Amino acid sequence: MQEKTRFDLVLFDSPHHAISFEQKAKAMNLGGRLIPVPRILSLSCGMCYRSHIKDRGLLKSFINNEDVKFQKIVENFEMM
Amino acid sequence: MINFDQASSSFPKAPNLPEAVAEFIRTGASNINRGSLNISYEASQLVYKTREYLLDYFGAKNKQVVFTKNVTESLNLILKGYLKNGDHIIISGLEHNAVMRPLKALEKSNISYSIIPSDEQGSINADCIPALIKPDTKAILTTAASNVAGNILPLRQIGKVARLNHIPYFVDAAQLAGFLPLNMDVLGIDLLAITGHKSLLGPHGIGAVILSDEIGKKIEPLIYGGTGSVSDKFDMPESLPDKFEAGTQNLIGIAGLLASMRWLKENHIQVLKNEIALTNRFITGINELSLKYPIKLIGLNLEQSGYLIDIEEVECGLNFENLKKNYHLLEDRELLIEKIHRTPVVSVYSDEIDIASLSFYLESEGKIATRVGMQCSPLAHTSLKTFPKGTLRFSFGYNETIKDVDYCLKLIKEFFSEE
Repeated sequence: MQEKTRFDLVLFDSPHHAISFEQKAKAMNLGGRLIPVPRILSLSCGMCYRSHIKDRGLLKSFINNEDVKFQKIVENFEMM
Repeated sequence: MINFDQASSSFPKAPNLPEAVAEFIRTGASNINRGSLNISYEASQLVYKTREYLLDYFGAKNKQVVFTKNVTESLNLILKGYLKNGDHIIISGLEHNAVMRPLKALEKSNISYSIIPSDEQGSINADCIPALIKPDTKAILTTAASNVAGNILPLRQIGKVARLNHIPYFVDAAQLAGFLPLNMDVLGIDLLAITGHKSLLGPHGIGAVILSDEIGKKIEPLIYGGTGSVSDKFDMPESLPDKFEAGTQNLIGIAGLLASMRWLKENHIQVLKNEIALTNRFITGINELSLKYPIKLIGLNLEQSGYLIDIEEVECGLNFENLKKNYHLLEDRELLIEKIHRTPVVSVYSDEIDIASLSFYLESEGKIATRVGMQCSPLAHTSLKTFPKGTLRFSFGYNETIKDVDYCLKLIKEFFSEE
């Protein structure tokens, strides 16, 4: 079985916000990607942005400096 | 066919449109917001890019794009969703039935409107607006340009009055979007309703509303249903664009609109030059014919239209405005929209002949398409004193030539000679 790794997950109110976030993050060379939101985190279907915890500084700096909309960040989420 | 009915729907469309639509159907026609497969992600990206393109194209910072099926749906969403019992709205005397019919229906909900008067040429003075403002006035809504006379309204001046009085300004840009640069932030427009199939040279069935989150909060949805977000709730999401985009969107239309707008941006100066040249030639010809025959031009003359402008000045202005970065360097009067006051739409009127017969003559003898009658705008015709006969409307695009205009004028002359 694949080993679990810890990630920071960015959750959104709208899939449009998720795509917008991901496109801007890609332009800034962040290494994360969009994945389906783990069911334990949200009953709503949709996508969240998954970023490795080693990139947390970059992620926070990106969020502080870019015009992006998100609902919340879940830190240290363990997943495969 | 010679298509002088571009104001109904442009044809031909942007040359890259058919292939862009076919390519989307072949390779990317999934759904957005509803799956994690790569194909869905690619469709979502395309929709995102189109929204960003529209925001940039219309100079709309901190705003959102909501897709609709056309400008009529956009206007219904705004009017029915925004106005509440007892509210009042100010409109222009040149509005299309896409505005007038929803407003007429809303009168039953105790919603009223006042009309900014226009003169017989279709000109509107923004200074008339303050006298129309009431305590319950919730918005000013005007067309950007008359679909009958072609007049471009003084959008910046109306926007200024709206700002001064803290009333949002909504614009129906069906006839102007794609013809001239239209910068919402510079002109003081809070909400823009557009359609894809006219001067933006895109497909039918795709329109949009561009608005801020703040205005969006005050509008109730027109359509309710699944959005792929907040799916555990029976209530519609509050965030834009989801609040107003229930159900599967017209992704084929969105893909086509992005392609057509890209083509238009690259070719805008050639398109604009041709449209101005054809309109100029046609108005000149009609003015000559009106000296001898019972036909007259409706709306602004060539000079008032700004159609005597040096074409290099147009090119320079267009290049500058496309940069969208240095507007603070521009004087208001240097905006193209302050220099050009007519779209490539020309209406003619006759007291003595049946203009429907003339329209039929042009079609049967010359395969020339025109549009005769009310053009769905009885209010505008009342303002222009052409109600109830209506007008014969000619509207020009990028594909026709001066030779086509001369041929049309020759046939009009022949028609009168045979009468």
